[in-house]
Amino acid sequence: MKNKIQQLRKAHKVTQQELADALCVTRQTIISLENGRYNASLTLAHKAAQFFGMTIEELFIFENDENI
Amino acid sequence: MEDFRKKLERKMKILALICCIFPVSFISGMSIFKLKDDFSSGLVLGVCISSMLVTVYCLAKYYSLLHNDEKLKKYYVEKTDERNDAISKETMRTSSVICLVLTIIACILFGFINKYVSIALAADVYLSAIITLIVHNYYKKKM
Repeated sequence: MKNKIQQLRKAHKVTQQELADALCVTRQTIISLENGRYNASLTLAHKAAQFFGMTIEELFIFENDENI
Repeated sequence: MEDFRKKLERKMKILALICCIFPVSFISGMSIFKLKDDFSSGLVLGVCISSMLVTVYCLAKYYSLLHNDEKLKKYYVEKTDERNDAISKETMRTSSVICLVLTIIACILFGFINKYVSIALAADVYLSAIITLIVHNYYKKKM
């Protein structure tokens, strides 16, 4: 699952550590999320979407086969 | 965060209790059962000493965490981080499958060398399978 976390974080001028602190996760989790190596849980996706002021669908790009 | 602090305090009390119980139970156990075999008494002593060392280490760690808010927050984030949780679950799953396969292979190989070792390994495989079934059923009902 792709996401726009990295580009939004850079647009908001937020560091990985600041985002990690805001979402109560480690910086490694943010790095893995940005690289697409780890898929966030619904709770973390909701927190991240709230942080950037958007919906989960806007932040995370669901591909067709992932919706099934 | 406050819940986590209380949880750590509770853990500290349990560890302190273990710290008191271990030496007493070891000394009384050694005097009651009078282990004459060097191997078994050495094994019991080793287990007790290593358990005590781990307990004391955990106690010291929790004590320093409870007296430093910054460290406590960092530890809380590390412990509750969902990626760390996913990694530990995946590690447990993969390592248990590898251990099971290796035990089955060892069980078959030891069948040609020593039947007692082979039977012990087979018992381990069956016991693991039974425990897995019980735990699986527990989580099936819970979730």
